Amino acid sequence: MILGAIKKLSDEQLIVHINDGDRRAFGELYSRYYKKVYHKSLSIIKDPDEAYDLAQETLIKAFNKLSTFRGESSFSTWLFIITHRHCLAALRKGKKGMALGNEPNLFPDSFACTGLEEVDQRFEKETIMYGLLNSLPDSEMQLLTLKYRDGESIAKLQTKLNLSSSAVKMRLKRSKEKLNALYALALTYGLDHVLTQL
Amino acid sequence: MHKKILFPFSPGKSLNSGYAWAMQLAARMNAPLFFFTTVPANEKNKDQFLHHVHCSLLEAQGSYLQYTSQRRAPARTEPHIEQGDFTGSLSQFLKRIRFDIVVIDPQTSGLPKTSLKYVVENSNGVIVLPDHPENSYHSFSTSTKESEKKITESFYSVLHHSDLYKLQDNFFHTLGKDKGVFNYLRSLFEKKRRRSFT
Repeated sequence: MILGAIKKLSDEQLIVHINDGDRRAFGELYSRYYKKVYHKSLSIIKDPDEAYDLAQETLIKAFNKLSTFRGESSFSTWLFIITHRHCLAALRKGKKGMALGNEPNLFPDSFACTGLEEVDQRFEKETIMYGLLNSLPDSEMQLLTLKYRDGESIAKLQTKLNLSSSAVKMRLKRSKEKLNALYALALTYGLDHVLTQL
Repeated sequence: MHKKILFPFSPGKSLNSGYAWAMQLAARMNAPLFFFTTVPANEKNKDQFLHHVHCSLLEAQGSYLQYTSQRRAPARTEPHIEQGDFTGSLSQFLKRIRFDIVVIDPQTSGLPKTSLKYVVENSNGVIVLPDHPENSYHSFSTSTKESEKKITESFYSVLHHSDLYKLQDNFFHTLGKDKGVFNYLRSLFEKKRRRSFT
């Protein structure tokens, strides 16, 4: 297949060609996503060197496992979830019990799990949630992070944000509802779709 | 103890070809590969520049992965990005850390010939790749056994045309342990055997 034709193929079509051994299709798919994976890692990790390391590992891992892509979501969502999962795992490893380890669940019911498969599913849900959290306006993301990740009390949030107790509670409620609604949308239509609509 | 390989490159240069060869070397020797480059001291947007360097490395990785065997694990890599003049910073870096092999690609290193002497003095071995390497990985469209053989051929062809300085005796001994070489040689034997039967 000539290069011009490859460029017109969808991601999913490229994967079919890659699985048939077409390395040019591999190059095309990789070149579509390597920058996005880097910037996504950077948005989670914040440190450029660390983000590079994680992006590199994610790309190797994902592109070596293309044969396991089942097409249940778009390729970009699949890759995005792997990126998030890898970054979150790195955060957990690096900051055990600090950033994410002792975080109360925003979605306690859906996160209740016991088996390994359920742990994996929970991880995916968590990944989607963080993807959405990062896409919220800074003020909402900060509020949710302070409350649910850092465990700040309403009283402390009042002082930090210079707001009344009821204003803090109201903003928390709205931000939570917004995140919940986006989460439901992401589960239905895919994270990528939701992120492009924001 | 693993040998350490360094691949320095000037910022802003395309590093696909030299990168791929250095990665092949590191993978064949089971050695970690270090990258070295600099952010110019007068660069106004350092963060942006850093992102550009990281993305260049990821792009080169894609090019390498595209035409290499997925059965061979990529080498572990670590970038060192310092601030300042490239040649001066590299000299200081080599003084601090002694590398077993420094791979110089004249197209990407941007090192003046006069500095090469310094690099040779401050490392255990130097490989200067040919100006116009023949290792066109881009001519292989599939990852069949045939292309694997061509990659091995092209790797050794580049080594053959490179200038080698101070390489230790055990360099070729280490390379000789590479399974890829054995498979390559075995395929040559098979070819010869087939020829003798016809």
